[in-house]
Amino acid sequence: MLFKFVYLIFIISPFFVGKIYPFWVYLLIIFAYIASSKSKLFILPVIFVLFFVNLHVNSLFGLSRQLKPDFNLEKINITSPISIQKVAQYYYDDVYTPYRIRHFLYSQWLTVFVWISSVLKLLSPIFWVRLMGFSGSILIFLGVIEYIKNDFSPRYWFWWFFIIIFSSGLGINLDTRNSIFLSLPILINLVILGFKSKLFISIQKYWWLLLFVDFILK
Amino acid sequence: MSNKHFVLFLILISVFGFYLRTKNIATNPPHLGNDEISIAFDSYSIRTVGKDEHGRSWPLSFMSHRSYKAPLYAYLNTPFNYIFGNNEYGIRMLSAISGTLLILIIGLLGKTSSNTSIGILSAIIIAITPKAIMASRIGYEANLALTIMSFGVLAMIYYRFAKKTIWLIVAGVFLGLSVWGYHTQWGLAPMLAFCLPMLFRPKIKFTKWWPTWILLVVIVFPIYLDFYQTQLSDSHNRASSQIWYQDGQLNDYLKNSPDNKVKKIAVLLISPINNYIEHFSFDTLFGDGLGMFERTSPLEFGWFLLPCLPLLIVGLIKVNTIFGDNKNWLLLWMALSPIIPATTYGGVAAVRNLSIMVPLSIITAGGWWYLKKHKPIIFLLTSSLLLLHLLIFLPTIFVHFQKSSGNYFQFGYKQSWEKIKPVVKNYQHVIVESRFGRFGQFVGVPHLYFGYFGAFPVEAMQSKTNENGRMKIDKFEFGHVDWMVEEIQPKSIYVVSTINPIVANAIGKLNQIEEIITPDNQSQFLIYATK
Repeated sequence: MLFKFVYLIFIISPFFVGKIYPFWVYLLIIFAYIASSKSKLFILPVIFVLFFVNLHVNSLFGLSRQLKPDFNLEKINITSPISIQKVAQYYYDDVYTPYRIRHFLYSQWLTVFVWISSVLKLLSPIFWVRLMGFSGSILIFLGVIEYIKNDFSPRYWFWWFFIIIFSSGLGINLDTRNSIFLSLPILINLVILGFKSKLFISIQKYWWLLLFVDFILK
Repeated sequence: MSNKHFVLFLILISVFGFYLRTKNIATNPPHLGNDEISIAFDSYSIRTVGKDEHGRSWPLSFMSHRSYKAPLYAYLNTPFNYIFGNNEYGIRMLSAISGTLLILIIGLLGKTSSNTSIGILSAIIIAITPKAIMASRIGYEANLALTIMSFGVLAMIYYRFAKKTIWLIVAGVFLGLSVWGYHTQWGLAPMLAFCLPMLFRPKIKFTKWWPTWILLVVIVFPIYLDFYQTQLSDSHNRASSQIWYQDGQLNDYLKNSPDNKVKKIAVLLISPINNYIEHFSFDTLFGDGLGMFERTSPLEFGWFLLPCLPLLIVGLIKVNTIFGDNKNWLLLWMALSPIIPATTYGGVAAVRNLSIMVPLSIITAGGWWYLKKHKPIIFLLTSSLLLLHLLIFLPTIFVHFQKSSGNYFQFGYKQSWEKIKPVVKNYQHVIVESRFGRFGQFVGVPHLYFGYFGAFPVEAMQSKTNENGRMKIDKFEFGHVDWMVEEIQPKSIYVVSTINPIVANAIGKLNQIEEIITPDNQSQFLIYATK
C-alpha cells in the first residue's frame, strides 16, 4: 500500500514527464544506491561519480571521444564569461575603493554568489511545490523533519542530496527536473519517511485533499 | 544590559542606520522614479493649492497614473517639501526618517519579545538589511506605512503586558493610519488587529480590545469608502487591476487552453497560494531578490544579507526557547505579511511585502543571540561573515547601483530641466520627448519632472491640454517627436531621446546645445535649440 502511494506521488510529479534519460543513468542510480547503502566505503566514490554524472545530465559536463573531460564553462555560472565580464566591469567602475581591496574584492570568487543563489532557489519551498506538487512536497518536508529527528541517519542521504543540489546549482539555466533527477532515490526515501511520521497521521485528511488538488492540476 | 545601555545602543544603531539611509540620497538612486515623482508633485501641489495633480481637492487617494495612491505620504511630506523645496530631499527624507524610526521600533519589539540583547541585535539586523536600506532611500509610501503599522503592533504588545488603555488607543490610531499609508495595509492592518487579540486570549479577554477596533474602523472608513467610490467611477484603477486573476498570462490560459474547466478553476484558485509560497523563497530573501541588477549579476543581493540565513534557521528551530509565548505573534506576523501581496500578480512583490522584514529580523536576531550564548565560535564566524557581506554591499549600493540604475529611474529629465533652465525664458516653445532608454523603449512622465523640479505653477499643470497627441502646459509640450513631420517654430528648444536625433529639414534649423549622459556613460537625451 505504502509503495503504491509513493509511486502515485512521483507519477503525478514532473519526474516522469517528457525527456527519458539514457538507460545507463537509471542503472547507475540503482547501483550507486545499493553500493552506498551496503558500505560506507562506497559513499565517497559514489558522491564523486554523482557529481559528474549530474553535471552531465544538466549539460554542464561531457567526455570527448578521447575521454578528455569537457566542461561547458559558458553554462556554468562561476565560469560564465558573462559573470566574469560583469566582475571586471565592477572592478573598473569602483574607483573609490583602495586598489588592493578592489583587486581582492572584484575577482572571480564573487561569482560564487550566483551559484549560492541558484542553490537557494533549488532549496526554496516553491521549487519543491512545482516539482512534487503540494502533497509530495509536504511529505518530503515531513520526511526531512523525521530524518533530522533520526540524527541524519543514514548519513549518505545527506551527502547524496546535497551533492546533487550543489552541482545542479552550477548551471546558469536551471531545469526543474534535470537539476534534481539524480536525487530520486533519496526523495523516495524521504517521502516514505514522511508517510511514516506521526505528524502525517494527524494531517492525513487534509493531505488527501492536497493529493486531489495535485491530480486536478496534473 | 541595563535600560540606559539599551537606549544608548539603540540610538547609536539608529544614527548608523540613518547614515546608510541618507548618504548621497539626492543622487542615489540617481533620479526620482515614476511613483516618487508622482507623490512628490502631488505633495507640492497639495502644499501650495490644496489640490492634487488632477485638480482634486484634498483627495483621500491620489489618482496619479490611475494607481490611486494611498494619501498619507503625500500629506505628511508637505512640511519636508516646504523645508527642502522641490528636490530629492523634499520627497525622500520622509522615507529615510521613517526607515530610521523603524530601527527603533524593531529594537523595542525585539526587546519586548525576549530580552534587551535581542532588541539590540534586531535593530542591527534591520539597520543593515539591504531591502530596508533600499526602501528608505526611495520615497516609498510602503515604507512609511510599515513604520506606522509596526508602532501600532508594538502598542498592542505593550498593552498585553501593561494593560493600560492608552496602548489600545495608540494601537487603534496607528494601525488605522497605516491603512492611509499603503494598499497592503488595507488588509494587513485589520488582520493583525483581529488575529493578535485572538492569540493573546489566554491572558486578555478578546472583547477588551474594542477601543482599538472602534478607532481602527472609524479611521479607515473614509479610505474604504473612497475606494468604493473610485471603483464606481474608474473600475480599471490600478488597485483593482493588479489582482492576480487580472494577470494577462493567466487570462490567456483560461481563455485559450484546451484544459477542462475543473483544472482551469483549480489553476485560478491555486495561483495566489503559489504566490504566497514564493514569498518565502530563500533565493529572493537571501540570494538575488533585491532587484538592483539583473538576477545573474554576481553583486545582486537578497532582501537580507546572506549570513542572516543560518541565523534565521537557528532562530526558527529554537523559536520556542528564545521567544517563549512571544513566538506566536512573531510567527503570525510572518505568516500574515505575504497574504495581501500574494493576491496580486507579477511574482514576488518586494515593496508590497515589506512588512515581512519585521518578524524575520527579530527571529534572525533571536538565532544570532542563541548562537552567542551557546555556540560562541559559530557566533563569531557568522558575525564576521555578516560584516564581510555588509562591506561588499556598501560599494554595491553606493557605487554600482547608482551607476547602473539610471533607466529604471527615468534618468535625464531632471538634468534636462537643469540644462535648459538658465535659457528657457528666451524661448517660446519647449518640446520634451516622453520616450527614453538606450533603444527608446521606455515611456516616461516628463511633465511631472519638469513640473516638480521647475516648480511650475500648479494651476498651469491642472489646466494642461492635449494638442496633436502632446500634452501642453504653457509653453511646454510633452509627447512624441517625429522629425519628418515636425513643424519647427522659431525660438524652440527640443529635448529628445538619443535614438531620435534631428534629420531632414530639422538639420538646418536646429543646433545641438547639450547632451544628457547617464551615470553609466550612455547618452540619454539630446537638447536642440533653434538657430
